[in-house]
Amino acid sequence: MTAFDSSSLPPEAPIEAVVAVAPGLTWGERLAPFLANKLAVLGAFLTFFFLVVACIGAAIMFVPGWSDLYIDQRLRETLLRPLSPGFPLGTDQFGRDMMWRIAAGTAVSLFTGLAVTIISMFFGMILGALAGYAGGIVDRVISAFIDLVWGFPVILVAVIFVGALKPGLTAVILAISVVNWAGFARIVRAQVISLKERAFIEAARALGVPSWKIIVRHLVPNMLGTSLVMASYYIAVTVIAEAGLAFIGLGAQPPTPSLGQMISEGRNFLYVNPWVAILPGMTIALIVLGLNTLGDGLRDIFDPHLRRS
Amino acid sequence: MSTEPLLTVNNLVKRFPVATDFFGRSTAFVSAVDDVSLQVQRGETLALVGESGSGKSTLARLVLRLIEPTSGSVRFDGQDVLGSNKGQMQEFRRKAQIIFQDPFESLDPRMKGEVIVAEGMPDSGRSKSERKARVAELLDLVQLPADAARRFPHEFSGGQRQRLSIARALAVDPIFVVADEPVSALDVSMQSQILNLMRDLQDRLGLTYLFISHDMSVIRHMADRVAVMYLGQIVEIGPAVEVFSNPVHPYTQTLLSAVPSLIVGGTPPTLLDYEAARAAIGACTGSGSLQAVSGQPDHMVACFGEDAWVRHRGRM
Amino acid sequence: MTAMVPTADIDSGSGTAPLLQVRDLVTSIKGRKSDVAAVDHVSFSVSRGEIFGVVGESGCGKSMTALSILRLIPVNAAITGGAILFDGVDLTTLNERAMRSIRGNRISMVFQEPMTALDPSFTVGTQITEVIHAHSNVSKAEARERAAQMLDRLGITNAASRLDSYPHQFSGGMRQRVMMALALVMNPQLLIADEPTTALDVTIQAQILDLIAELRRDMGLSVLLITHNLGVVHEIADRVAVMYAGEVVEIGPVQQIFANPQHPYTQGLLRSMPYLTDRQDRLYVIPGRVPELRAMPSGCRFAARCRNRIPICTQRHPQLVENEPRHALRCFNPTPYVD
Repeated sequence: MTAFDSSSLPPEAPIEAVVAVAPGLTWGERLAPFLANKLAVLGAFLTFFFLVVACIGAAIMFVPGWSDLYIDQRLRETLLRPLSPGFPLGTDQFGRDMMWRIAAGTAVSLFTGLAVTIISMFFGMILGALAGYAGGIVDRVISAFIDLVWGFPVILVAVIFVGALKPGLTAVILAISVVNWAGFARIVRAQVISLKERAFIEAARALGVPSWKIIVRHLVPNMLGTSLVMASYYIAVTVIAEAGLAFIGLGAQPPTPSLGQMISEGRNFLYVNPWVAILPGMTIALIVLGLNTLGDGLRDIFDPHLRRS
Repeated sequence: MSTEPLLTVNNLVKRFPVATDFFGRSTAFVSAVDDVSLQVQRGETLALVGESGSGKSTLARLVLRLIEPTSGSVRFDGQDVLGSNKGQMQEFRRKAQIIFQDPFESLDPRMKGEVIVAEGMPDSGRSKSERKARVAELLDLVQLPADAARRFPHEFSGGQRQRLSIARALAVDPIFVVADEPVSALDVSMQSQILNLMRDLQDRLGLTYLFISHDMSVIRHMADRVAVMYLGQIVEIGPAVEVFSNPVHPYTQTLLSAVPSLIVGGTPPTLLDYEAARAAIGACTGSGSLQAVSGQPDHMVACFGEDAWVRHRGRM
Repeated sequence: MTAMVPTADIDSGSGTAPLLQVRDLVTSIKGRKSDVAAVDHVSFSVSRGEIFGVVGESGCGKSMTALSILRLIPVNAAITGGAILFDGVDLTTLNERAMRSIRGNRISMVFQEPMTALDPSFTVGTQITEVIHAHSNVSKAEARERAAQMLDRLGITNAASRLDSYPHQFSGGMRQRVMMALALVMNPQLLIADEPTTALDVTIQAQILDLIAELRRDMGLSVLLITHNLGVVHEIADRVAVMYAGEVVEIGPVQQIFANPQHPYTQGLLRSMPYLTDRQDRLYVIPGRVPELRAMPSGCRFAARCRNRIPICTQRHPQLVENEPRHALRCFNPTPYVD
C-alpha cells in the first residue's frame, strides 16, 4: 500500500462536490452588462418615457371629447412659442396645442412602428424559419423571394399602396411591412441554419424528439433574444420611414397628427416660429435614439459570447 | 458465440455534394464514408480512430440515421434501420443514443438540468413526480449532485456538462451509445473521470459503445476492438491488443508512432517494414479490400501498395 | 530538505544569463468586487536555445503568463507586480511603441487556431511582407523574397507562388506553418507558442514539433511552449513548469519531472493519462476541481484535492523550494512517485 492508494479518499462519487461550483447568475448579474452600458440605460429610460407619452397620446385620441385637446383651433393664439402661458410647448399655425399634438403624434409613430414590426416579425419568422429548417428547394424559393422583396424601395411600395387603397396609416403600415418582413426573414433563416447544426439540436433528434417540438422548445427560445434586439431596431427604422412618408404626404391624413406631417407643415413657418418643426423633429430623433441604444444594451445581454464566460 | 451482432453495417456510402450547377443539382461529390462495413457485438466497445476528414463522425451519424446514407445498409438489433417507418424509428431512437464532443454545444443553454435530462423521456405514462424521481436517479447514476437538476449548463464545469449529456442519453434506457469524441474538449483530470464513468456504466448497464476519438491513448483505454479510418475507409480493424501492438497498415503505424510518448508501461508497438507488412496480409486481391492478418483471423487490414506505404511512412 | 531559494534562480544551469527572466510576475483581472490574480508570483527563465514548457489545465494562468510577456493581456487585466527581463530589459517598463518594436521582431507568438490569427481577406504574402515592412526598411521585392524564403524554410513547397494564396487555401497543418513563418520571418530570439498543435491531427502535430526542434537547433531559437499536453512537453521541451491555479507548483528539467514528479498535482496529472501501450482497469482521478480565482484558499491551493494533505497544508501557503538541483516544488509533504 502506498500513500497514493485510492482507498484513502472516498471513491469518485462526491468529487464534483468537493469544491462548490460557481453560483448561478442572478438577475442582477445578468443585467450587469446592460447596466454597465450607460447609453443603454438612457435608451431604456427614453423608450419608457415615450411609451408613457404615447399612452397619453392614444388616450386623448380615442377617449371621446378628449380629442378637442389637440384639434381645437384657437385662431387668436397661433404660432405661440414654447413656454407661453397655457401652452408649455406652444401652438401651431391653427393655434392647436403642440404638447397634445406631439403626444398624439408619438402615439401614431410608435403604434405604426409596433404594428409594422409585429406583422413583419410574424411573416418573417415563419418564412425565415421554414427556409432555414427545410433547406433544399423550399429554401431556394423562399430565399429568392426574400431577396427580391428586400431590394424594393419602401417609397415605391408606399406609392403603390396609397394608390390602391387610400392615403392613411393602413396603407403606410402595409407598405412598410411588405418590405420589412424580408429583413426579419433573412436573419431568422441564418439563425435557424446555424442553430440546426448545433449539437443540442442533433441530440434532440437522436432522442426522437419530433421536429415541431424541436422548433418550439429549442429554436424559438434561442432566437427570442436576437428577435427582441432586432425588433427594437426595426421599430426605430419604421418610425423614421413613417415620418418620411408623412412628410411627403403619403402618411396619416389630417386631422390625425403625425410627427412627419407636423414637420412638413411646420417648415412653412420656420422664420416665424421654428419650434413647430423642431419639436416634432426632436421627438423623432429622441425616440430613435432611445430605441437604438436600448437595442445595443439588449444585444449585450443576449450576446452568447458574454453568456459563456 | 454465434449470436447476431448488435449492429451490422454493410457497404455504407455517404457522398456530400461539393459543387452544384445553376439548377441546384450536384455536379461534384466528396465521399465522406466510402464503402464501410463493420459489426459491433453486444456489450463490446468498438473504437473508431482517425484524423480530421477520415469520416468517423459522419459514419457515427449514418449509423444513428441522423443523416441519410447515399447507399448501404444498417441493421440494428434485428431491425433494418434505413427501411424503418416512423414508429420503428421511435423505437430505434430509444435504443441507440449519442454523446457529443463539445459539452458547451450539446446542451441547450436555456434549459435547466432536469429539463435536459428529461428531454427524451416519453411524455405519456409517467406522472410528474415519477419523472422527477427518474431524473434524480439518472443524475445519481452519472455522479452529479442532486441540485444539478435546477442549474443551467453555464453553471457546470466541462466534466459536469459531459455527465449531464450522458444522463440525457441514458434517460431512454438505450442499449447502444455512440460517443463522438466525448473527452477531447476536457482537461486531463476531467477526462479520466469521464472515461472511468463510461466504463462503469458499461459494466452496470451492459451498454455497447461505438467510441470515436482521435486520441490513441484514450482509444487504447476504452476499446475492445479498434477500426482505423482514413479518407472514408477502414484501413485496419481488429482487437485493440493486436492493432496496438502489431499494427500492419502503414497509416496505423504512422498514427501510433506520431503520438508524443510518455514513460509508460507495456510494450511499444512493433513497426513492421514494407516487406514484412505485405507478407503479414498475404496475397492481395484488388486494392482496398480487407485481408486477415496471418495468425490473427479477427485482425483485418486493407490492401496497400508501395505508393500508400511511401505516402504514410515516408520511405520504403 | 533544502533551503528556500529565490525562484528566478531555478534556471537551466547553463551559467550564461538567460534570454528571458520572468520574476514574481503578477497579472490581475479586475473583478466587480476586487481584483483577482490570474498569474500569481510566477517566476521562471528561458535560456538561449532552450525549449521551455509551461503545462497546466485550462484556467491555470499559463496563457495569461504568455500574453503578459508580450503585454497583450485583455483590457480588464493588468500586470500588477514583478518584472519580465528580456535580454536584460524589463518589458513591463517599456512604453507601447517600444513594445511594438519587440513584438513580431524579437519575440513572436503563435496561437492554437491559425485560422483566427491569420486575416482571411489578405494573401499570405501580404501578411508576411507587412511584418517585414513594419520592422525593417527593405524594398517590396526584397520583402517578398524573404517571405518566400521563410515559407520554403518551413517546408512549404512552391513557396514563391504560394505567397499569393489566401489562408483558407492551406490545410490545417500548412496554415500552422504559415503562421510560424509569420512569427519567424524577423528572426526572433524568442518564440512563444500557445498550444501550437492542439487543433492539429497527431501526424501533423508530429511534423510541427519536429519543425520547432529543428528551428531551435539551426537558428538557436528559444521557445516558450504553452500546452496542456504532457506528451508534447515530454517530446521536445528541455525544462518545464507545471502551473496550477495561477502558480508554478513544480519546475525543473523535463527528464527529472517526468521520471520522478514530486508535486502531488504533477503526479496526479501523469497518473490520470491513459497509456498508449496497455489497457488499465481504471484511470487515476484527481478528485474535485480547481478553486475559483475569487475564492482562492489561503493555504496550499491544491490542498482540497490532495492525497498527501497534512494539517499545515490548509494553514500556510507553501513556497517554491528547490529539493534537488534545478528542480523545485511548492509542497509541504511531497512523496516519491509510484506509478
